[in-house]
Amino acid sequence: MIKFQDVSFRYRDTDAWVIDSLNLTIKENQKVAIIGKNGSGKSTIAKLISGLLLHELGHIYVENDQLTPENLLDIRKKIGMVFQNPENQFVGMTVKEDIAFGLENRGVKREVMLEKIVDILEQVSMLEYIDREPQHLSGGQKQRIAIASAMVLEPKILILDEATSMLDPVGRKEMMSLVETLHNRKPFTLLMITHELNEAILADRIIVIEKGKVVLDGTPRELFTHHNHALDELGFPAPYTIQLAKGLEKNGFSLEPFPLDQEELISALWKLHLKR
Amino acid sequence: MEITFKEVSYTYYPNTPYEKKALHNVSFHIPSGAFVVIVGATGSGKSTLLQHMNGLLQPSSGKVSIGDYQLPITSKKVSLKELRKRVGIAFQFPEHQLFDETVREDILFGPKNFGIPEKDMEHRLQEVIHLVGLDEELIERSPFELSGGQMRKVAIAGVLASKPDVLVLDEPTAGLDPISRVEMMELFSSLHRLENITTILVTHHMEDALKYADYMIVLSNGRIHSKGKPVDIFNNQDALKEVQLLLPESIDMFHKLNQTFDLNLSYRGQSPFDLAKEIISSLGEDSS
Repeated sequence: MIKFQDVSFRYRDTDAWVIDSLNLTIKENQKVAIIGKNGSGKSTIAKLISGLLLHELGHIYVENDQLTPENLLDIRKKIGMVFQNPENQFVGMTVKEDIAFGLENRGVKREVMLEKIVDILEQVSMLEYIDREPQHLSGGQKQRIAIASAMVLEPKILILDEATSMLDPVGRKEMMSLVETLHNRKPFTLLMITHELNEAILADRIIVIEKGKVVLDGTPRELFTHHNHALDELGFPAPYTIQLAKGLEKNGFSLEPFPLDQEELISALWKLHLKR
Repeated sequence: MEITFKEVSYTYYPNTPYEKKALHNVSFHIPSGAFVVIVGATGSGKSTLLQHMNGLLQPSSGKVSIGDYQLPITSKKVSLKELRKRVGIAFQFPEHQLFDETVREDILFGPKNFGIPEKDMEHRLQEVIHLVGLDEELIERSPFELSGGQMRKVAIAGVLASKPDVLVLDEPTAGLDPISRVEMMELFSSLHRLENITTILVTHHMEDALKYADYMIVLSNGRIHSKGKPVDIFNNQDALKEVQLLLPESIDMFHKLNQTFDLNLSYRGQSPFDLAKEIISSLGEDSS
């Protein structure tokens, strides 16, 4: 659970608010996508939750504890983060050492540690790379290791801060399906900060941030459906498949339920095709 | 300026245990004024290829010519100043290369270095900040105080300020929001059309490749896998699977519709709304 209550933040007293009286509650195990233009404040939200930046006004709660400078380290233990640049997040010489780093910090016993490392590497399909140097992996593989390093500590919350933006399309797709699989296996609260609507569609809920405030909040189906143009107007044109579905409706086809991906569109068309 | 690669190979760290051949006999020709997109999975050799275009790397073997300029093979040292003045490169996340105290200094670093007369500088500055759509108020600020999107524009303005004949862009829109991405692609497209700048773009956005490129080169493991018009390459979907590339969402939809409903739709850049009409009439005919 994450709760923002009238939270404001700015970098300097003289600057404008980057986060402006923000109110937001994210339920336990919910998958939430946060989207917004460059400079909207969306990445700042992630940094405020983890206490990398400290809010000036209002209250932030993480799993029912109010975030304060005193309990910041305890709160951070509940959160895993994966950032944009896969190069900047390695500390170990090998994949194994890298994942062990966080476990050592938590005082996990050596025998248990190896077991946990093997288990998490299996889950991210990277076990065969256990003794490799992280630098020599591909971008997508590096991000898998970054996810493994975060998830081995069993955080309540995983934050992906534009974590796919430096990957190629295949790497992106694989990473999203990995996160989906991990979430299905053992749920956690997922916060993904992204520009890609194709990724945001995989969330239970999409939140649009503009000038440090929530300007739109709903399920993908609510936001993309039928006559809802709010996302378009905020500068997030729908993916091609959804534009096509909207085009079909405008031309007098009614599609129920409104399709969000290619598969759903094809099956909606099948039904219509068979009726004719 | 035209660019020709003839059987170009490049090996990193030759004769060491880390030796890695990154390009194998790569040959292609880019006519002057073309808009070319280079695609390929991570590690396919795209960045290595680009670095040959202004002499940051020199081929291990083969010939690279850019206009009248011949790039010598490795080891021979030559002056590259003239080449670098004519070929502007923006690498991935070019904002990481900003370094000067103000936006003005940063943008004018290139022209100063290339000996543009002082009196032309201000004009040049005004010209490029308008091109990229940067607010005039920002020019005396530190580039490091700007937002990510603004920093990207400063970096691109810096490349354009030297008035290159060839513009080489390595994923210039990565990490930008959708609107900024469209704006930046429209900028490159209009520069290409109006100033006749030869443009070489590396991108993972297949929709952009489809929309903007005259010509596309697909790289795979350091070799040219295919080259031609984007729409022709994308229509050969099985070949693209081999090289770990995904189709643009639009073309993929055409293929799926054609396969599933036995239709004969073809992609001509029509809008989703127009495609919807075509689908309805095709499915309608089918039942009558």
